[in-house]
Amino acid sequence: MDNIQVMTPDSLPELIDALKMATPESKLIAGGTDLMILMRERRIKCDMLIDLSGIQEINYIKIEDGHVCIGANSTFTDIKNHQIVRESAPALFQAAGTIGSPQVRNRATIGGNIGNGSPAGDSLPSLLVLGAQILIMNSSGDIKMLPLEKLLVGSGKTALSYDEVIVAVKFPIPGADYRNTFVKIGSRGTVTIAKLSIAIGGYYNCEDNILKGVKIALGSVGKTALRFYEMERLLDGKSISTELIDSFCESLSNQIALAIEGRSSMPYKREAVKSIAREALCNLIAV
Amino acid sequence: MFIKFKVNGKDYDIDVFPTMRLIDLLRDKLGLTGTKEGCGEGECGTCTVILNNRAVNSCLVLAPQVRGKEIITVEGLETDGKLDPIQESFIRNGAVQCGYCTPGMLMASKALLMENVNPTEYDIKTAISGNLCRCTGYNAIIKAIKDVEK
Amino acid sequence: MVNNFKYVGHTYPIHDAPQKVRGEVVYASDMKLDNMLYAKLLLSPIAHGKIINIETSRAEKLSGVVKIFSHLNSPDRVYSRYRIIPDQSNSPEDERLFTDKVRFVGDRVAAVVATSFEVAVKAISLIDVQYEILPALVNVEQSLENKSVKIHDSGNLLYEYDLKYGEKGPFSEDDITIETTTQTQKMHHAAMENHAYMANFDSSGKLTIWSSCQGVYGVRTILADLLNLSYNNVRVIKAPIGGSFGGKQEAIFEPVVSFMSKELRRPVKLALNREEAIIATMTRPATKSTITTAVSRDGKIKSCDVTTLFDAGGYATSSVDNGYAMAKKVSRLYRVPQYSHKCKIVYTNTPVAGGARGWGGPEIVAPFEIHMDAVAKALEINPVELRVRNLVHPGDVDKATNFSLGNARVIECLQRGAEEFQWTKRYSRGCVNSSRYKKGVGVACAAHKNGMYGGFPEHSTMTIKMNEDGSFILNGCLHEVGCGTITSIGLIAAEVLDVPLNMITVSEADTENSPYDFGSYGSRVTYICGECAKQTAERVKNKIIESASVIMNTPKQYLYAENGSVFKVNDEREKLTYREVATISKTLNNTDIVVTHTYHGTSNPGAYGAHFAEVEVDSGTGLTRVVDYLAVHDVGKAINPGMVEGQIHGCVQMGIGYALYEELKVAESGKVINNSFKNYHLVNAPDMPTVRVILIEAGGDDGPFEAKSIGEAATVPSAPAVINAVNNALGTALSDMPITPEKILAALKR
Repeated sequence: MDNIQVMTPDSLPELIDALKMATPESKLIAGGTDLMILMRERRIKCDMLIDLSGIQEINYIKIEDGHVCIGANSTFTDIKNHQIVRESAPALFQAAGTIGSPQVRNRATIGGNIGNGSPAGDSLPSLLVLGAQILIMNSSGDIKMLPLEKLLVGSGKTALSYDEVIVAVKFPIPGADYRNTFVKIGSRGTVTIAKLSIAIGGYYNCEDNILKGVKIALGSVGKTALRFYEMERLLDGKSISTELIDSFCESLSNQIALAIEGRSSMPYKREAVKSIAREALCNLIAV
Repeated sequence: MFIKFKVNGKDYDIDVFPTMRLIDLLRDKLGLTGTKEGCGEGECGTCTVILNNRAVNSCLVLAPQVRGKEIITVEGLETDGKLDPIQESFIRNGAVQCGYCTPGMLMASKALLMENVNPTEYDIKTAISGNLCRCTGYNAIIKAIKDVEK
Repeated sequence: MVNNFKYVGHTYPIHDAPQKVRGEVVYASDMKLDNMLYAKLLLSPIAHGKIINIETSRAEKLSGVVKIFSHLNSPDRVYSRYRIIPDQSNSPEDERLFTDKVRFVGDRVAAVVATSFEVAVKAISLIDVQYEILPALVNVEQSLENKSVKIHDSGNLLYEYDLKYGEKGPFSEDDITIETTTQTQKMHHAAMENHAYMANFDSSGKLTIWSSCQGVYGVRTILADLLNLSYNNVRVIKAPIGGSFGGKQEAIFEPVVSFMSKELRRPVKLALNREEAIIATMTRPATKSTITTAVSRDGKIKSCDVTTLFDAGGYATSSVDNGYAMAKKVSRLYRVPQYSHKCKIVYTNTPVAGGARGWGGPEIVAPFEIHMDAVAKALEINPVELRVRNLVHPGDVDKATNFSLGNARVIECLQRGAEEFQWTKRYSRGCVNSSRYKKGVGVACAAHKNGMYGGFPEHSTMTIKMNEDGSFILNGCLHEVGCGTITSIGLIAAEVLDVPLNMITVSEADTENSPYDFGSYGSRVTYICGECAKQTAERVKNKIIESASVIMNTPKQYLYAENGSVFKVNDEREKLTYREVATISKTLNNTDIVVTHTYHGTSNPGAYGAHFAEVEVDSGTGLTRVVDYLAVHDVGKAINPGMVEGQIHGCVQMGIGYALYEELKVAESGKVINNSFKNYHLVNAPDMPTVRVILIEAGGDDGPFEAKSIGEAATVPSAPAVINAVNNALGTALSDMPITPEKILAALKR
């Protein structure tokens, strides 16, 4: 970590000024839980670091215009502890709780998790299922909104330009009957990178036992966290039965096998996905 | 760059190399070598300190990020020559062996107890889930955290 | 055993716990000396190749770089970093300070010494090395097949042995033959403190090195012989150790740091990071053992034949002895009338193997205990019962060494444990439900040793001197590695001398001031050093009484020492405190109360344990949790019971990792895939069960207060107990360690 310029804006206007100086080699740092390691190992080149941690304007969790709005600087501890998230977005609440260790959750931010664009990014499948939109600010201070799907373009790659920054995430407040859930497995029970993760959301009515508006997203099965539209259609509008769950798990397993064909992890993931998918689905429809 | 911050109740206003890590700031600049480094990537927790009331891995914090903040390290647990109850409990319960994970374990435990004076076993295990220990098998450490005098 | 002792048998915290909880202990990586320089190593990025060229000019131009070392400016001299005593056998010399041919990813190519660590790191990135790449042989099979690719000039087969003992008994047609094969994996010792050293060669011609090592005299021998210094001019000081587990028992980087300091005549510090510790120090060896036993229908083992392939990695170091150690474990545990062991120890282009907690024990006992479960299954005998029929009894003779196994209470461990664990009930429960989470129980036994007697010199020397105030300095060559050695030794001396623990200072190893001792390995410290402390203290006590006898003008048979004073028999009013004895002896009688004593161990009984584990396997994901655990150990006598339990807890943590997920994975290229704690997982607190401990304290052997070893012994049965439990839960026969979720799901699919 040698001659790198470090900018420490303490407000959005100062951040805009800093972004104006950014080059394609510049990096944004928030919690630093991923970036600090890469820099230490000299795995990335960097001429300038813009530290976002001092900007209080993007550190909030609130409800606004029917949306849950989470400032990019919110840590996963903030998210996990927040009543709004726990009540209305259990998938995100559950994902936040599985991220790293308490020390990591105390630093890692939602903006960072998205911007890092890791295929194993723990919050991403849940945010996809919640229909998250990402608020992005550029060096002119303009703010645009992009669906998360559009932002994630590859492993460690996002559609963000070097002079853009994620300032917030928002998703519609899930209605009372919109359910969502998240399941992750790693190579240890806790404090582990996701080997496989799944989030499922949908409208479920116990009485008619039908799932509608289904969204399914998985992590660690491709270059980015991904929606599985075909699988969504398989469940959508159907009456949930053991047979349907079985065939869903089998089909998903086949899709995963195709998605990561040739990788040494495929035989394991195609098996394991069946049980976490089943678990997620059962959690979803449990009373 | 100059930054102002507080460590163990003491104010600092010093010039730091902007890409320095907090752990190096503590150990090399301030001579607080009680904070240890075990992996440099936030996996082992030996470098845990308390930053504005929360446990963090000081190897993952950039020094400029602590501007205006308050840090407690293992050296700051003792008050007026008296050990913190968590330190006493670690000694009393045999939670210390080689001692290398101890400062980080203490800080993770302290952060837990600052937030929750009556943690369950699950809370305790979660609080130290990011602190690795190769000597104790955690049993005595968990016991020590439960056994802290309130 | 009734505890009539004042100090021994009571729990005390580790001696420096008050300093450790304050963060005051100065480990080698915390040390700073005036004028100190920082070293950083350039480690090979390729597994096998010749160095064609090293271009250092760009790095040398960097401000702050003092010197760059490589094979071009260092002695072309081979040495063994394991050869701790002069003329030691089985320690092939095949390593150089800096190599001109790299043999694994992590081999030492060059080093930068600079005025700051940051500069050293940057300079390393500016060194260009050109290699002629050679084929990488990344496992034993590849090394044996590709004879034309020689890792060392001597070939890829480092050593081979074929040991046999006992005689083939009469076989019956009813006997069954069972064969199992188990692989054990490379494992990172994972001491939380990475290796760190500070060397200082000064103008007097003396080298001083502070090292987080397990044996100062061994390090001294290696350094002095390599650097052509006389032994008095090398001072090795044991620095506080943040865990070792065998990973700091060899002089891995002491030679290179010392050499650089000698060349520069300035203090040089080298502190490794985690990746370097994982790939470039040493690992538990990978082995593959096929075990074939002939067993009678009633479950008696008649013969056992083992073949082992042992992966030494890029250099020999301790692998020959380590491989031999494997052949001497089963006969300590089971009555096997005839035993043979063939072993090939093979160089590969992978990280260097070396001794790790248990030294050959976990590597062969895990395969054997997995095998025993296969036998039990074939004969439909309860695994506990099968073991009881074959385990050694107190007083048995070890067929491999012809030494007595002493008061070997392994059957008692197993039976007590089975009762406490409710084994029969839980085992027969079997696989009762069809739910996703399957529970199962497993058991394993283990034998370990007590010191090195039988294959190696075994003695220890200590001095105890009495101060004028009646306090004592015990000067041994002790290495506190975190398991409470200093406290145990203090307790032993306190018990004999009958003074409070804080009246005895126990010093740590320093070749300039300490009497000779081999160091902290071989499960020898309590058994050998502890007995040395006891005998030395007894001699001091005798001398105190003799001195008091002169002062009190009373024959010594009428005196006794108690509670820090010397009393006259039948007249408690006539007494001298230790302070009075010491001061008067010195001032009036010109007598110093000081004793130096060498204790030579002449026995090596077994230390035993039986572990019971219950696991819950998620049959959907293959993730396994250990949910209940009981460890029963035959320790002779627990000197400091709390620390004994702490040792067992730590061993179980390591054993669970060995069973379920700790493995250094080497790619076909020779790169270690998981070279960080991000993907090399240790068992963390949520995955660690509460470990119940029962200690069998039946004494009967030569250790201090009849104590035996524990710190390594308890590692041995842990992994097979867990694996056997998984197999019980799933009805599988998994034996390829570690049994990861991937392997579990694959087995369930079959």
